[in-house]
Order: sequence, then C-alpha cells, then structure tokens
Amino acid sequence: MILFFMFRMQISNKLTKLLTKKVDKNFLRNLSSFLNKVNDKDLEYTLDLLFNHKKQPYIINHKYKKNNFNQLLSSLLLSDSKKELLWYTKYFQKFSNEINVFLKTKKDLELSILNSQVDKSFEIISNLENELTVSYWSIEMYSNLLKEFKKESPAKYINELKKNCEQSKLTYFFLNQILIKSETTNNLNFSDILLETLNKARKEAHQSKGNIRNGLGIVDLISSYLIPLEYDSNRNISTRSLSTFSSLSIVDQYLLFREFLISKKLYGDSFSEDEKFIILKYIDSSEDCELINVFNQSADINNINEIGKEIVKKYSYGEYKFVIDKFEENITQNSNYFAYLDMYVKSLIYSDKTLHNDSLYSKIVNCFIDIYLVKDNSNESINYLSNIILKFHHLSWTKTITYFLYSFIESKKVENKFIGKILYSYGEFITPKAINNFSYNELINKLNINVDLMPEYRKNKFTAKKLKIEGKENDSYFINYKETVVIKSEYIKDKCGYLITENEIEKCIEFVVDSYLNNMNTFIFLPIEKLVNLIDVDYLDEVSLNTLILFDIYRKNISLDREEDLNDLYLEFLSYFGTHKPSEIYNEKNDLTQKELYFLQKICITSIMDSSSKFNGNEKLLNERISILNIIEPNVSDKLVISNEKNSLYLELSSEELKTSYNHGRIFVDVTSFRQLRENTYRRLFERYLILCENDIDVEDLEEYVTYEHINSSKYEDGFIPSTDLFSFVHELYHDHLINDFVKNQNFGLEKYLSAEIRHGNLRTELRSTFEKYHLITDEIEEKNSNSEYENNEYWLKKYEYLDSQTKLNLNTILKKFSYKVDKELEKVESWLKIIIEKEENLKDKFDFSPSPERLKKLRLKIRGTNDFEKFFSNCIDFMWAETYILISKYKIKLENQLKINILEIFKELKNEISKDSLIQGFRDILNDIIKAENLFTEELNNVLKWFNRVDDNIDKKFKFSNIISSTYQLFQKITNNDVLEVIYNKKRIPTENDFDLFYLEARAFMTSILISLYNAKEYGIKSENKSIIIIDLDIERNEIIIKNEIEIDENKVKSFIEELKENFSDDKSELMITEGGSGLHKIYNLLKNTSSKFYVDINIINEENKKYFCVYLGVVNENSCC
Amino acid sequence: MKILVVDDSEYKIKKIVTLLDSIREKNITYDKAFSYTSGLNKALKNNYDLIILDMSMPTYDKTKNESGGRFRVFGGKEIVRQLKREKKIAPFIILTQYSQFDDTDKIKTLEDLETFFDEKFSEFHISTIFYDTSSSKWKILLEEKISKL
Repeated sequence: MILFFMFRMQISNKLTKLLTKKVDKNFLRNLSSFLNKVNDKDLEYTLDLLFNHKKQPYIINHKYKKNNFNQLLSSLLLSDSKKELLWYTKYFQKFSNEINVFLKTKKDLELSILNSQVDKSFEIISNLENELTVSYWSIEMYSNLLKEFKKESPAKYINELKKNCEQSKLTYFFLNQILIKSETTNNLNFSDILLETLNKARKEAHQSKGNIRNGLGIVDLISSYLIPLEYDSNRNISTRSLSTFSSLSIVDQYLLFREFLISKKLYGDSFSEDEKFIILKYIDSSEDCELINVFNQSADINNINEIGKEIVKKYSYGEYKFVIDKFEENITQNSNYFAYLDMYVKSLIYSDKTLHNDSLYSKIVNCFIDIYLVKDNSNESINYLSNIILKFHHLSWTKTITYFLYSFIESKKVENKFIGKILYSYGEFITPKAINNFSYNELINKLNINVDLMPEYRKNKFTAKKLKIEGKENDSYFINYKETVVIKSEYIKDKCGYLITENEIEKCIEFVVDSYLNNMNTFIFLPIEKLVNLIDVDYLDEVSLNTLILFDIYRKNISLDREEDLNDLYLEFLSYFGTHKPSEIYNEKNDLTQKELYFLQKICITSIMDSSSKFNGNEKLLNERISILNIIEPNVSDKLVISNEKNSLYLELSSEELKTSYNHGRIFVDVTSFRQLRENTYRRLFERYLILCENDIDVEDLEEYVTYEHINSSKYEDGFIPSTDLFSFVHELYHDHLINDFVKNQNFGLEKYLSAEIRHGNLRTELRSTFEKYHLITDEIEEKNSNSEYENNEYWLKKYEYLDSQTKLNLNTILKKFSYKVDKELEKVESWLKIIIEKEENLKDKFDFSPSPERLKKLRLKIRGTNDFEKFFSNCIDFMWAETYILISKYKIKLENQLKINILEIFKELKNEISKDSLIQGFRDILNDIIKAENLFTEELNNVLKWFNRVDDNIDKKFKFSNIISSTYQLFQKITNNDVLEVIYNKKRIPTENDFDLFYLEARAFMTSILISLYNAKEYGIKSENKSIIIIDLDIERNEIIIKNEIEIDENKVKSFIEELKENFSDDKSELMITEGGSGLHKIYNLLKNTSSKFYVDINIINEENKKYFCVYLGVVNENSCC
Repeated sequence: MKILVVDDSEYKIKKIVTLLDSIREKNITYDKAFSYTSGLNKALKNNYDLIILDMSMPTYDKTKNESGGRFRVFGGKEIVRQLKREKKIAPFIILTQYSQFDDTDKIKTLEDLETFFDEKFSEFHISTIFYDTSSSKWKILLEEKISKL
C-alpha cells in the first residue's frame, strides 16, 4: 500500500515538474512521452491529476481566436488506442461545459440552416467563435453559408485567414481544402482528387521508415474531416491513430472523436472490454444524444417513439395530409423530424403537391421528388444533394439525405456498406426502413397495420414482397403492382431486386433495358453496374442485343471502364452473322424494333466499329456508318439528327483524301517548270560534259581537288579547289546551276515550297497548338531579349481565382517561364530548315546544300557514263532528291532526338514545379492537362514528321473546289482552340452545278494560300478579350474565299497601307518567297501565279459594324474547263 | 525467332529493328506494322514468338491516302486483348514513349498498365518498357528480355 502511494506520489511529482516548465508548442509532445511511460492502471489517475492540476497550462483548452488560429500545438503521440481513448474521454469530461455549448450550437445551427435562416446562422457561428473557439468547423460552416446561401465566394475570407499560416502547413492545407470544397459544384470531382492524393499518401506512409500508424492517422484525419466516410473505403475505422487530431481546436477534436466512435461502433471491429468501459463511462455523463443513441439504444421498431409510429401508420394507410402537416409543423422546431423525409416526400407526390423553394429543406425535398419521379433534371438534383452532403456532412441531417439518396440511386462512388446504419444516431426518431434487417412483415405486425386498409398500390407492393419471402409465385402480383403503382421507380426497383434474387439475370437485363429505353433517366437507380459485374464476357454463351445495350448504358452513364468489353461483345455479336458490317444484317429489314434501332444508332458508331480489323481504312468505316444511317432514317421521327450526322460524314469523306495527301508530304520541287525554263541551259551543260568526258582520266589516279585552310579574321576555315577540269565542271554544275535551280529558285525550287508550306509559321503553329489547346502557353508581349515578357495566363488564373494572390502569382510565373522555354525550342525547328549553300559555321543545324568534295564526287559518279540528255538531266534531278532526302532524314532525327527530348524535359520541369504545390493548392486539373498536352505534342510531332515526304505529283487527280475549301478549313480548325482563337465560318453550300475541279497541284497551291492567310490573320489580328477572331466568307458567284481579321488603323492610313502591301504582288519581290516573317502575301501571289493563271489574290480593308477588317481575297476564275 | 513490331513511328521502328539485328544469337526475323489494324491482322495471320508493341497508335496505317482514323491511346492494349479473344496471343513487350495516359476521366501511369498486364496476361506479358529517346536504358532492357526468351 505504501509502495502504491509512493508510486503515485512519484507520478504527481513528475507531472508537476513537467507542468512547471515553460509551456510551448511542443507541450503535448512532451506530455505524450511522459504519459506513454505511465502504465494503464495509473493512467486514469494521472489524467485526473493533470486536468485538475492548478498548474494546468491554459493552452490545453485549445481555444483560439482568428489571429492565433495558426498557432496550433503539435499533437500528442500516445502509444496505443486505449491511452488515446482515455485521454480524450478525460479531456472532454474536463471541458464538458464547452462541449455542451458546442453541441447546443450545432443543434441550433442545423435547424437554422435547414430552414434557411441565414442571418441567424451567421450569428450562431459568430457567437460560438467568441464564446468558445474558432475552429475548422466554424470556418467551414461560415464559408458554406456564404457560398450556398449568399452566393458569394469565401475566397477573400479564407485567404485572409491563410495569410499567417504559411509556417503551419497543416492549417494552410485545411483552410485551402475548405476553400476548394466550398467553391466546388462537382463534389465527386473534389472527393476523387482528394482520394487520389490520400491513397498515394497511404502508400507512401507504408513505405516510409517513420511511424506508420501516425502517418496513416494523419491521412485518416484529413479524410474524416473533409469527406463523409462512405466516400473513402480505405479509411481505417478501427485501429487508426487518434492522437493526430489532438492539436486541433476543442470543437474539431470533439467532432472527429465522436465521428470515430460512431463509425467504429456501427461499421468497425468491436471495442475491447476495456475500451467499452471507458467509452460507456464517458457517455453516461455526456449530453451528446447521437452518441447515446448509437451506444445505448438498440435500433428496433419497438424503440421508435409514438409520433414516429403514428406517422408510419398514417402513411401506410395513405393519410398523407397527416404526414405532411406533422412534418411541416415540427421541422422548424426540431431537426430530428428530418428523419421522416422519405415519407414526407412521397406524401407530397401522392398528394400531387409541390413546395416553393424558400428554404433549404424544401429545396432538398423538391430534389427528391425529381429523383423519385425520374424527371429530366434528376441528375442535376442528385448533384445538388451530393454537394450538400459533402459540404455539410458534419451536420446530422445530412445523414438522412445520404441514406435515402443512396438507398435509391446506384452510385459507383459511394461505399454502400456505410449507408445501412447511418441513421442509428437518430435514436427513437429513426424511420423503420433504416433499421437493419428491416422487413415489412415485422413492421406490419409490430405496429398492427391492417394491410386491407392500405391503398391498392401499397397493398400490391407489400403482397408481392411478402409472397417473395414466403417463396410463393408472385409474378401476377408484380403485374398488379405495376398497374397500380404511382411512383413507378419503386416498382422498377422492386422488380429488379426480385429478378436478381431469383437469379433470373437474363430477364432482369431485359427488364432493365426496357425500362431504360422507356425513360433514359432511370439509369440513376437501375442495377446496371450490378448486372454488368455478373456477366463474365469471356464465358458468355450468347451475346444478345439486351446485353449489348446494357453495356452501352453502363458506358454512357456510369463508367468507361468496361468499354473494351462492349467492343468485344459487339465483335462477338457480329460474328454470328458472318459479317463485320452491321448494315448487311439489317438492310432488308423494314421495321426495326426499338432495340435494333438503339443498337444501330448508338452502338454501331465508328469508334466501336473500328475495333474490327476487317475495315482496312477510314473511308470504308465512314461509308459503313452512312449505310447504317440510311437504314435508320425511315424508322426515326427526328430525321434532322440523322441527316446532320450524314452531312458531317460526307464532308469528312470528301475532304479526307485531300487533307491526307496534303499532310503526307510537303517536300516539293516543280521539276516540270524547272525543266521548261532551264532546259536549254542544261543542254549546253550536257554538251560540255560530253566533251570533257572524252578526256576523262581515271579518278583513282589523280586527286580531283585540293584542300586548304585559310585564316579568315580569327577563324580557320576548311576549303577545297577542284584540280581537274571535270571536277571543276561538276562543281559548277552543282554550285552554279543545280543549287540555284532545284533548291533556291524562287518560282519552282525546293526552298519556295519549304518556306510556304512548312517554314512560314505552319510547323511552329501546328506544334504550338498542342500547348495552346490546354492553355499552358501564352503569347509574348515584347521582342525577345533576356527578359522576355509573356502575357498572363488568364485561363488558369481564372480557374484558380479563389486561391491567394501569392499562389496565383507563382503559378503565373511558372507558366510564363514555360511559354518562353517552349518558344525558344520551337524557334529552332524553323532555323534548322534554313537552307545554306555556302560553307559557314553551324552547318549541322541547317539544311546544308553547300558543296563539298564528298558531295561532288557523288554527283560525278551519278552522271558518269550518261550519253543522252534525258538520262543526264534525270540523273541530276535524282541526285538532288537523294541529297534532299539525306538532309530531311537528318532533320527528322533532330526533331525526334533534340526537339522532342528538350520539350519533354521542359514538361517535366513544369510538372515538378506544379506538383510541389499540387496537394495543398488542388492543382490536379492543370496537372492532368499538362499530361494531355505532353501526349498530344508527341502525337502531333509524329504527324508533322509525315510532312517531310515528297509530294506525290498526282498531276491527273482532280478535286472539287468545295472539297478544297472544306479540307483547308478542317486542317486549320484542328489547331484552333475556342478560348484563344475563334473561326467564324460563314459556310455556304456550293451548288453542284457551280462546283468545279482543280488539279491536285492547283488544289495544293490554293490550300497553302488559304492557310498562309489564316495563319497571318491569327498572328496579326486584334484580339478581343484575349481571343483572336477570324471570319471566313465564301462568295459562290465569284468562286472566292475571303479571310477577314479585325485591324486597328487610322482611316487616313488605310490607302497607303494597302498600297504598300500590294507591292508584294510583284515578280520583283521574289526574294520574299524564301523569307520568313511578314505578311506572306508575296508567297501567296507567287504560289498562285506560278501554278495557274486562273487564280487571283487581292487585299483590302473594309468597315463593318464600326470595326475595320483586313481582308484577303483568294479566288478562281472558273473556266468551266475542268468539270 | 520471329518478332512482330507494331509502332506508328518509323524512326522508333528503325531503332528497334537496328537493335534486333544486333542480337545475332537469336536469329531474329521480324515484321513491321504501323497501326492497330495492320498490327492485329498480322498477328492473327501469322505465328510470332514475340510481339513488341507501342501503346498509342492510329487505327489504320497512315499513308498519302489514309489519314489513319481514330488515334487509339491504348491501341497496344486493345491488340493484346483481341489476340487473347481470338486465342492467338503470343508473348509481348510493351515499348512506349508515353509515361502517362489520358484515360478520359483519369490519368493512368505506365505502372498502372504494367500491373494490369501482369494481372490479366501474366503468362504472356514479358515486360513494359519506357522508351526514353534520351537514354539507352530501353535498349538494354529490351535486349535483356529478348535474350531470356
């Protein structure tokens, strides 16, 4: 005994010593070390000492104001759950007055929010913060009230709180998450993103060398604060560390502690006897009704209070007025009545009544009405209710919404096992349906309900369910049920449940499909996922239309994760008919059934049909879809949908060939024109060659050239001089003629087309569009220097407008830096295409056609032995193409090796910089878009590499003028992004009789001219709200396309401006053909003029609706000679 | 050893084929395909000891007359699934230059895909290798895997 007291004295002394030390942030940590050494039987004594000690530090009450909210203590680190339970129960007992204040406040707030008493709600929160403490709970309630009731953003309010919290990462994180959650209109998106982060953190905690229990405990803390339990199936509800929330305010601690107790009691492992003892001892002195209900009351029909029983009975007998009146009388005084929500909603439906949306609860009720009646807006109603659940999930009445919503609808995201007992905290107010193992039989017996007094539909429903339990045949009762039911969704759900229980899966699938086709909104409650999961696609005996439609419904409304199974089922289905073309199965059928129609219209689409490897090209696939639409058309009422789709397919087909050709090779030399204009010169060269060949000396014996080094200012250069007459000739042939003609000639040479079709903005624009599509890149403001300035990234700044200004500034800076780095890389792709014909530095980064001994030797060997002009000329051309291909090949390798690697590295840097803040700031959206942009860039680079093939001359192929216009538009449209560039295409159908043909090369020239005009319009047009707008008009009578962009210019400068630009329409400006930058007008002029005399180009500035537009007119004089 | 290489990048195929040519002891012959359809057709028609597949590819071979159709983010995965369905599956290696894939509503990583292949195609999935143009690690890994076959 003496020893016992001595030991206790020791504890007391040690505790006193600890408490007399200076109290700082780490106080609880130090206290934990002490408590962990105390054995279990002395712990209660120790805690009693602590909480009654005269030197108990004030900070232990965890009460905060807004200005010191960031000064949370470090948390406890108790060694086991029993110690933790004891700590909390003693702690809350000590501060029971405060806890009771909080509980009352919570109750008052729940009622006032439900009844939309906004001002009162703000006052309640404010009083709690003044009287007790600021907490995450009060901050969140305040934010949600602002957002949901006042339609104001809480950003300013929370960002103000965040200002002093940078040092406290957890506080900053929580405040940010509260802000993001409050702003969200898509609760599933918020919780998905959070869950992804939490699950990653759980994985890392397991792999770390630190305290795993604590690490996981922090994750569970975040999860249990921010989202309801049913959203996070990985939350540990039985053995998690509770110490982690000991650093929060007393209100938050209590909230989380009670949540833990209730969750574990309802869904987790049993408490040990010791733990039960501790908890029940606490509950005995607690005034927390919900805790008491969960722990001390068993959920049983007998325990329902009298008013609840009365409501149930009256409802069962169809006396809906009683139910409605009782609910409405009491919901303004007692939020427990919200438990009867379901009966109230259905009473309104049966009475054909609606509510005005003047309170939150009436809004909730109306949402349920929409959902139960499966109206068109039922999805929006589900979304609204889910948002309310997420934002207010710490309030008791949200459990009612959760229970009834997720009992009715099917949801992949919510863990159903956490729904069942969720209303147990209501105690005597619980609705019988929410009691586990509920049965109508028991209800009828215990409440003495006379089935014969029920309305017909209810009687049929009960009978059908009753007979099912008794194992009797009840199909006929289902028929009666169906015929008399008012809320059809109830019947459909019950029938599905019955069929699944009876293992009548095929029948159930058929029933589900029929229900869906009758009303597509029914997917919200049909057991589609359940049925899909029951089907093993690999072992299915037979694929029916019902199965196909079921998988399609799943794909469209629930998830894309079984899309591949749908493809497999589709292929299997078609294989029964021995064809890969669905049109062949149905082309002789006159009247299609509803399911056949659905199959053809919704499932036989190109993205499913192309799974079959029997289509050998896109054209065949599109044609098959058109055949299917022709079969469908007579069977549908809305023919416009069908004809619109057909028109779009025709358009795609008609432009497919031209677009593909254009993109599959842009390397061109107009050899025909070359020959026409230069033949005489080459004939003379050939004659000289023949003479020289007579005196030809075997080159093995003689050096053909002499190399030298010479000093040019401070550099050494390598050079060579031909030392034989023949080699001199070859040098001249190459340097003076072939380079100038094949490569540099501004009317027919390689560089002309390289410049017009690739270098003049096209390549860079195409690649840059992959970044623009995801708004990762902005435009430069000033000329490039070391401080290049880029425009702000307004898109992402707007997306994250609710974040604090420093975060936004950082993000903007990162994105500007990214824009700069990307542009620097993209500049190179054009500079690498610069053609040089004389030796200079950095040859390896250019298109180097300069003469070299090796090159000339190859030419010499190529023309060796030719003794007729035709062979001589064609060998020269072949040689030049061979050299061109070598250079192209090197260029493509540079694109693959250097550009791609550098860009991917820049992407990696961007991801790293943004990932750092991703968790805290919720940057998942931008991170996802970065990944998409990265993949798109890789894909687009692959596409662009195909440009570096030789143009297929195809001189005889013809294309319709209308196809040329639409192909070009589609090519350009691919790189447009509606947020930064809008193209208004005033499309007009060119009548068949007015349409005419152009030869392939003519078509190419016209397309290139249109594209150059469009790129220029994009580059130089005035932006309106950061968006460029281009207008395309068609003048059918003149066969003219007009490209317009807004321009800013003084009226008195218009004439001189146009005149100056028109100077480009001259053969004297041919050097502009290979120069980059500028208007590109000479390129257009040169291309069109040298292709055909039927083309023309003109420019003007016009006034329209108080704006000035720069217009480029590109037209064709229709000679009617090609049609 | 007969190998099928399915990839839409001529440059990448060239690199793979250069590597295959250098593995003399296996006496490798190879076929090439540039899209989902041509890759699947070749694999169905012939018997291969190994298939080296890119993950993302167009539906059809891109030529001067063919745009390629829909770009399939998981084209490689789809080929393998169809081969399994048709009972023509062969050992395969995924060799892809994408480290993350946009799966419409979420992003899948290469690790996610590797796990998927290990679970569903354990007998046939040899490896999933990241094709990083800036390093030769992929060559070493690919050669190692082929040599073990």
